[in-house]
This record gives sequence, structure tokens and C-alpha cells, in this order.
Amino acid sequence: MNKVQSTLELLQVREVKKYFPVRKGGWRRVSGQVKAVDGVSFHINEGETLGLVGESGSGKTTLGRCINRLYQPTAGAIEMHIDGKAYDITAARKGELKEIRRNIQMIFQDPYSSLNPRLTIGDIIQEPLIIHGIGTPKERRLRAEELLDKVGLDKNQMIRFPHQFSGGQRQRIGVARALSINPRLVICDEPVSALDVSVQAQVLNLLADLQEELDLTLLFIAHDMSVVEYISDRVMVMYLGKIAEVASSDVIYEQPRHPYTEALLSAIPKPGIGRSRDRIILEGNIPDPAHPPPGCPFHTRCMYAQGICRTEVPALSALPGNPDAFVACHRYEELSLRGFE
Amino acid sequence: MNSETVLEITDLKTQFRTEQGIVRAVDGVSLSVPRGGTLGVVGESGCGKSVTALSVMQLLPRPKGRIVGGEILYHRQDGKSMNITALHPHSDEMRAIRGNEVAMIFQEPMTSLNPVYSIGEQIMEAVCLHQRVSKTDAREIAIEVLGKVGIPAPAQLVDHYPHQFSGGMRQRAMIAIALSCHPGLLIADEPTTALDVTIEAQILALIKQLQAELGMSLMIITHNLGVIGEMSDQVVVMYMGKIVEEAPLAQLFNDPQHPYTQALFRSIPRIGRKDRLVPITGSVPNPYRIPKGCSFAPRCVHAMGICSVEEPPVFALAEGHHAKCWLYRDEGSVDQPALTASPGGEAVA
Repeated sequence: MNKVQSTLELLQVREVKKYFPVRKGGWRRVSGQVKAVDGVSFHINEGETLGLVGESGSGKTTLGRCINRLYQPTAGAIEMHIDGKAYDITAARKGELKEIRRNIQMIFQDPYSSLNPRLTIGDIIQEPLIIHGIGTPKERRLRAEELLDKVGLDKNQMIRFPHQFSGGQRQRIGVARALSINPRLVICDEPVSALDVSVQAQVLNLLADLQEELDLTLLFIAHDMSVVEYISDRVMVMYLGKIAEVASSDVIYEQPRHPYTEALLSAIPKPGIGRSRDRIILEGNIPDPAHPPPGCPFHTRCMYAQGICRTEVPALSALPGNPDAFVACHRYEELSLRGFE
Repeated sequence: MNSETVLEITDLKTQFRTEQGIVRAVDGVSLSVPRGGTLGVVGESGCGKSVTALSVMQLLPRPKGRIVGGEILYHRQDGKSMNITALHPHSDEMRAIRGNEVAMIFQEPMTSLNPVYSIGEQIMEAVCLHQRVSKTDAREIAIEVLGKVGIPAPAQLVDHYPHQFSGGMRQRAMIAIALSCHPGLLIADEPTTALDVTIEAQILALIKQLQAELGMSLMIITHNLGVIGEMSDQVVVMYMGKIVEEAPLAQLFNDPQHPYTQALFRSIPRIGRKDRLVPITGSVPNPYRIPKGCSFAPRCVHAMGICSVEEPPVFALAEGHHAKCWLYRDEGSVDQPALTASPGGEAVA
């Protein structure tokens, strides 16, 4: 992937793979590999929100976890640029890794299991500060109060425990914790999918505001296309461990270039008068990542698949005239796909 | 009785007794499902939409949950009506309705299927329970319905176990169980919430196709307004155990009247509209401390003095369109028959 980039790249991911061994039999021998992430390259610019969508099993969470090295990638390189210095995340050792993780924080999907029930809210928010040895106890407490205020909670609630909060409030606490050490990159892994719609909007707005205010860079992982469109500058679609398409969010919704993106957009249930539209309904399921089909991973469900799709893996190629858009499809040039109506 | 409705719920009240007090999970709900049509029930978690469905099926966890008031009438095709609330959950009459006349599919297809029985056995269980057929015939029926719900090679997969099925296939198997006895009414409680979007599209299309084929009535419960829009004819919006608005689909989407419905629409991101979301302030009140008056008043942008004092009645706004909100005090006529008829069945004018 060669691209001309005027903006600063914060993160550069090159050919990252993460395989999980499948063990079977009496001696737990490795009998196969689940290719959760299979050769993914992309970048995230400073200050932007990259939306990452895909069905369950497409590898989006695994990719997120490779980026902050919760998983050690099987192959590939992830480079992060912090204050003019380049760090190699995949090869970083103890001290360096800690420095990197100071700059990458996560917000998790489930606001119930991601907060320690035995710690008070104040302790939870201060924990990253303590781990990274930032500030005196008093400064840390003031920082926690400031953050609670920022995410819209009362600072008097510092001494309360997670169970005393609702789902939306807990997700706000998760946001405050992630922001406590001023990270450069925040990986949000399905941060609103466990929330009710009315609360979902509160958290989405909060993330958008904080991003603007603090100049955050977000990797926003979600399966809901409309949520991703709302928050993202660029959208990346994954299927079976590979990138299907990347483009700016205005472009991808209007003019998808990959048949899978088209199907995802078409599948969104929408209020329709005359509802029996000719919507695309994909047949079958996402294939087993331990036994991915040969050729294009999507060809088993693709209505445009031809001979070449069944034998050759399509490369992720830049679209002519749009250096920021990439698609991995043999037939992208001839197909004219439908966007979101 | 009424031949145009298949299910009529009047002023249903379902409560749960817990250590902390009584939760009025469903508090005076009245609705009706048109024969052959689809009623959508939409609301956030805790609004009582699932409990309404469980009340119809008499599947409430006992002794905690109890129907304390109201009436649920099921009108059979042959014109006979049955009052479900008058039946004991374990009675033969109730068993003849549950799973046979009225079937239900649940949100989580993994936990609602029994992992130690094959898919076929679970379908046969329902068939053998409700129909006088031999085991071999029941197996034939099982294979037939599995084919109908789009399971490939049903004759082989009938002996597979739930864990061998993917999420979408499990939900198809659940639908097969529900349809095996040709129910007059299918209650689908969040049937696609646990599924991926592309699989969701498959399941919704399947439900619609089967509904048209079998002439079944459908009550679909979901928090997703997109699913509601895709599936329903008539929609009720629930909040804190009460119906706050009822309207035909197009009217609800084009011209929502209750502040809660309006707020819901403003808080969902929609593709192609980049304007800022307007979330509903605050959160759903504690079920043990329901606010006085209108339960939405503390979060409502239009709240007036009367809202926190007196509970609003249901106002009729148009044909089939009702809202439970004081805003319509002057325009709408206080309407009773559709939503808040007295338990006796006689409408109060």
C-alpha cells in the first residue's frame, strides 16, 4: 500500500496476521490454524476516527487487540508515531511497551464486566495513572474529578461502586478511565452495542465531543453501520480476517466498491413504505476462519463471483482517482454497486 | 367476538414481587394483534415488552411474577375465544394454546434450545405434544418444517445438535419448532438481536415469507426501530410498563406524537444524516421508584406542571393513532375503547 499522505500518520499497520492454533487429539497437537486476522495493512491518521465494521468472526476485535499488543501478532509490523518517534509495537520490549500502552487505551463493549466491581469509581479512573506513575495522590484525585466532570458524571460519585451505576453511566466511567492518561489512540471495541438507543446517543455524542476537545484518534469497532457512519471519518470493512474495503465514510456509503459492503448496506433494516424492495440478502454464513475458502474469502456468498474469484485472492488495490480508497475485489472496476438508499 | 383480531390484551397488569418491593413490569397495557397482520412492540430494555409476551404465553417465572389484572383474549380461527388470564399456567387448556395456537421465538437461540437433544427431537417434542401422530410421522414433519425454514439437507441435519448449528441456523431451527404446529399467532421476542446484520436480513425475510404463506399473525418485539419499520403494520411504543403511543407504521415514522417516540427517533443515527444526535437526557427510572404522574416526565422536554402530578390518559389523535400525553389534552378526544377498556370487556365511552 503506497499512498501520499498529507496528514500525519499515527499508526501504520503492515501485513499483520494473527493465527490461533487449533489443538486436537490426545497430545493436543496443533492440527490447524484459525486465521483471525490474515494480512491486514492500513493506517490511522492523527486526529481521525477510523470505523471498523464486519460481522462476528471477521477479526475486528482481534485486530484491535493486536494493536495494543494484548495479542502478539503472528506476523507483520505495527508502527506508532509518538512525538516524532517511531515505535514498533510488535517488537517492543517491557519498558517500551509500557510507553506505547500509555498512548493506547481501550473502551470495551460490556460496561458490566469491564469495570472491577470491588473498586470505587475513583480508584478505577486513577488506576492507569498509578500504573504509569503519574502525579501525586492528590493530583490523581483532582484528575479523576476533572474527568468525571468531563464525561458528565458528578464528582461526588467517586466513592461509589460500579454496580450503583446504569449501563450508560458505566460506559462513561470506562471512557473516563481510558482518557485519564491522555492517550493518543483510543480503541473503542463495540462501545455502544450493549446500550439502549437513548443512552447510545449520549455515549456517541460524548465520544465525538471529547475527540474534538482533546484531539483524540479513535479506532471505532462496531457492527452497526449507521453508528459507524455517524462517528467515523473513514470506514474499513473486514471480512474473514481480511480487509474488503477502505474509504472515507461519505464515499463508502454512497458508492461501495466491494460486494460485501453493498450487501451490508442493503441488509440494514429500514423503515420502508413499499418494503419489498429488491434488497440483497446474502445466503449462508461467514465461513469458518479455520478453513477459509480458496480465492476471495467472500466468493462463497458473493452474487458477482466468477472463475477468478474462486482461485485467486484479490489484492487490496487503491482506487484510481481516490488515493484514500482501497478495495479487495477482482471485479471492482466493472461492477457498479448500489449504495445506501 | 371480533374476527379481525387474533389477540386482544386489555389493561394487563403483570407484577414481580422481589425482596426490594413490587415491580410493576406491565402496568395497564391494552393492545390487539390483527388477524394475519403484524403488531410491532418497541421499547428500551426494562419497558415491559418481553413481560407482556411472557404473560400471553403464561411463562412468567413463578411465584415471583404474576398477572394481577386485565384480560388476554385469544380468538381462534373457528371463532372460539379463550381468556388466557383465567387459565392456570399448568392447565391442559393453557398447554393446548401454548406452543400450539400461540408460539414464541426467543432472542438467544443458543440458550433457548436444549443442548442435549438433537434439533429433530426438539421439533418432534412439540409435534407429539400437540398432534396425534406417530413418531415416524413426527420426524417427517420435523424434516418438512426444517426444509421450510431454509435449512439445507434437512433429512441429515435433523439429527444434528444445536452446537453444530450456527447462530442463524439455530434461529431457523427455533422458528421451525414454533411453526411445527401451525400456530395462529407467532410472538417473536427480539428474534434477530443476537445475529449479524446479513443473517438478520435472512431471518426477517424468512419470517415475512412464512407469515404470508401460512397466514399467521405476528407480534414482533424489538428495540430496533429499523426492524419495526421493516416488519410491522401497526406499532405500539412502550415505556416503563405502559404503552405511550400506538400508530400505524407510516404515521409513527412520519409523524410521531409522543415526546418519547420523537426523542427515540432523534437519538438514532441514520445513514446520510450527519446532524448531531439528540439523546434523551437522564436514564430510565428505577422500577421501584416510578415517578408520579407521567413516568416519562422527568426526561421529557415538553414536561408541564400537570405531567408530574397526574398520569395522562390516552388521547386519540387519528384513526388508529393514540398517544398517552398531556400535550394532546386540547386536540385529541379522550379515547378509551382501543387502549384502556375496562377489564369487563365493555368499553367505557
